[in-house]
Amino acid sequence: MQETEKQAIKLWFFSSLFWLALGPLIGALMSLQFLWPDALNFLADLNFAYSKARIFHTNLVIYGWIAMSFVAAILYIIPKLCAVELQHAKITYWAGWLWNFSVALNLALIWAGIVSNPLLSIQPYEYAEAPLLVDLLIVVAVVMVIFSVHRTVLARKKPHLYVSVWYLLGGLYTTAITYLVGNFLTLAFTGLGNQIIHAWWLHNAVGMFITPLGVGIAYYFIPIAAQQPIYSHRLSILGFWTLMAFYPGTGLHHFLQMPMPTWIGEFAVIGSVLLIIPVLAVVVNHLATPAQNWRRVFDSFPLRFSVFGTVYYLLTCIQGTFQATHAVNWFIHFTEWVQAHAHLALAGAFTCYGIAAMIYIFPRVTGRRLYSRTLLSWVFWIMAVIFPLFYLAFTHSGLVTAVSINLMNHTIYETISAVWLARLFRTLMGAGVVLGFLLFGYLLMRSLQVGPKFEEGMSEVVESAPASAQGRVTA
Amino acid sequence: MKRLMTILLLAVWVSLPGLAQHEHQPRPSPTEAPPIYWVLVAIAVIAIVWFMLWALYGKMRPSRMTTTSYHALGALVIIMTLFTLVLYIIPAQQAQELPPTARAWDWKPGEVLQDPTGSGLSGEPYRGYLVYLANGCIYCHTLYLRPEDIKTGWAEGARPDEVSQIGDFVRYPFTMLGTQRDGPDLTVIGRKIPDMQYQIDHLVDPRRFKPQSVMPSYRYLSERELRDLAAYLVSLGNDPQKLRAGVAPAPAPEDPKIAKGKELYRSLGCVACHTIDGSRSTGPSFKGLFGDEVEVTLPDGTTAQVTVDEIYLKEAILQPGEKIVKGFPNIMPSFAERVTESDLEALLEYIKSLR
Repeated sequence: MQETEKQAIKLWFFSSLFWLALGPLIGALMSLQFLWPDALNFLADLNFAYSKARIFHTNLVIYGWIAMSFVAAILYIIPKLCAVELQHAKITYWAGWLWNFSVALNLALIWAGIVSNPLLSIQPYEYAEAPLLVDLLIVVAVVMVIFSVHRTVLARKKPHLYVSVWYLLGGLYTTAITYLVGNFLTLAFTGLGNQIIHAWWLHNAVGMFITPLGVGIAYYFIPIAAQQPIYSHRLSILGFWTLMAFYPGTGLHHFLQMPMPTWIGEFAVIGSVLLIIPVLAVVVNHLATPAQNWRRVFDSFPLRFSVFGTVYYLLTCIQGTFQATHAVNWFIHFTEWVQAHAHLALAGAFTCYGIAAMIYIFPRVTGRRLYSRTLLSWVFWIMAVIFPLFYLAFTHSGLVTAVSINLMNHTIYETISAVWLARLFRTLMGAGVVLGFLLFGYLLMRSLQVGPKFEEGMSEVVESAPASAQGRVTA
Repeated sequence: MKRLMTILLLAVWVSLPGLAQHEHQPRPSPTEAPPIYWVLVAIAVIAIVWFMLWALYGKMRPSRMTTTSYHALGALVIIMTLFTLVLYIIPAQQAQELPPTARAWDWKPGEVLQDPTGSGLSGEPYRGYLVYLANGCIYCHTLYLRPEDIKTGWAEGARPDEVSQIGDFVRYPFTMLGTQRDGPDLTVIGRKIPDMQYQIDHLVDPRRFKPQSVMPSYRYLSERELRDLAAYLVSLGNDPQKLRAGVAPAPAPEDPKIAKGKELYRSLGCVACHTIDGSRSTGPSFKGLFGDEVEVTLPDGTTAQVTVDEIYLKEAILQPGEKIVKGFPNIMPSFAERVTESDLEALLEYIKSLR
């Protein structure tokens, strides 16, 4: 691996780690608004409020953590699968700085809350709040990354395209389309037409951007960490094409009850239900691949996290299909169960994939192993035990809201007091999850200093933690 | 293969005019969909069957790929994505071209709204909408009503015929319908509380009026932003023509007690839950309340008949939980520590004046 390539991967890698520490932390902070609203009144002195914190949270998690860690993984995976060096690595390196700058500028402009400026005001689209100026910068950065990855695939020494390349490259194309639609095409529509195009973007931010990239990354790390060939190539291709066919049209299931032509809503619901096909294809492949060598799931941390991510992915997608149907949607729409679902996907499934990728890449890029198995086990068990509790509390809050509003005719204020305890539990467990992320960041940063030297063939994590780490330091 | 594609393309072409003629209903059933819908369904079904057969029996090994086939498959991914985008653009185009309904929101940039209470405050609703956007109000409040909302009470103060329609939104530059409700829906908030000063005070310190509220304080907004946002809120649910014509300032009540009571009605926040025009809200309307015979729920759960007189009203203000008018939630805070005896009398005079 050439030095510029390593430099590019490192930049995307450690930037994503920084945003991972910040994004969920803001989420935990803003959840206090529902418990002790007066305790957050001091934010008003900083020209800040819960509502802005929420935009910070979603943008940081998606554009800071998920996107940057996935690009770091893509920059590592694609050259490996193509048996060629990353082409134009310098461009991706500068794209990394541009991306970081865009995310920071985005936060600054959201905070400033400028009214009625075409370039600097935030946009009214969830997950695409970034002002037009930031959008333009992000488009430039994405084009730079796509250019480099595309050239790498074209220059490949191996003629075969493994399924990860399908997912990652296809995912980058659809990311570009989706981003352009969400941030630019929406400007061409007014009234409810605007909302319909917004809906297309809203779900494809997850479906056409995060899903194909995350699944593609897992398709690489699961077989390689399990030391097994992929269970079924046929299934993987089936999953890819059905994903591309069914996913893009599902967005309107977020606005099923708004006034709009029914047929397009039906289209969205049918697409959402059909999604179960690519999901099952992916899940069967991901779980059947290590099944031949199940012991590895306990030994290899990248594999453990990927397999766990797949379990969350399965739960998310079954739940999403269920929530998108009319019979359920009217009941749970507007409640926190929807946010809980989003957390299961992004903070559960795709964060697990991201963490798995980071554990695998870290030693191979920095030349150092992770210094503590204990600490990493803590991160894993937080994701395996505390995170589901956090999710359940979130769901509980959403369902109580739905019952209170729809079946008991309670007012909003009675409902807020009814879910107080669930929200308290959510905040406590959420703080635990944030602690897990911070631990993970600490583990990687500390390993940079005290991690023992890595060579290909070694496990990514040292066997027993503190003693050996200290041994290396003194040695 | 070529023949099949030609037939399908022709079918799409033939059914396109049907699309234009299709008369739009707010919520037509799938059976009323334009012919192109069924053509698209047919294409989708054929594509799925074909794909499944290919997936089951087709040749499928990681194969050598030429640059051409690689580009062709890349193009296919993009086409599949853009196909659904086109499907979304069709109704989006239809939706923004529909005629506005009578109650459609209709404020242009630069237009000024005068406070209907005659307080002399004014603001620009259009700009207020942009303030609403810039501060992320959309993450807790929604701006549309479903049929369910009218039944279940999400839509406080809305009339049964006020389920949102596409035409209500055509004059908005963009829509912010919202996906989550941690606060009330705001579709008719301006009719419920047509008082800019109250809206401003509530934005600055929400829990002064609603102790159970979890809304953050927006006291950091500039004077102008607060006025514009309040003007936007007042414009919601009110006929733009009437507001624009300028509602005549209410004549000053002759009795200073009534004037004081009216001021207290606003400053204490009674306005947040009790209307003065008889429309339903969180609490009973004050209009015609005095002297009325109401059924109340006692703390032990039994009900009783009570005549609304001065004694009952005083008790209701000081110990609201004692006798709750049936059909309303028991959420009113006690005002025992916030009103003096003379305040109470002024309030009673004001409520009496609303018979």
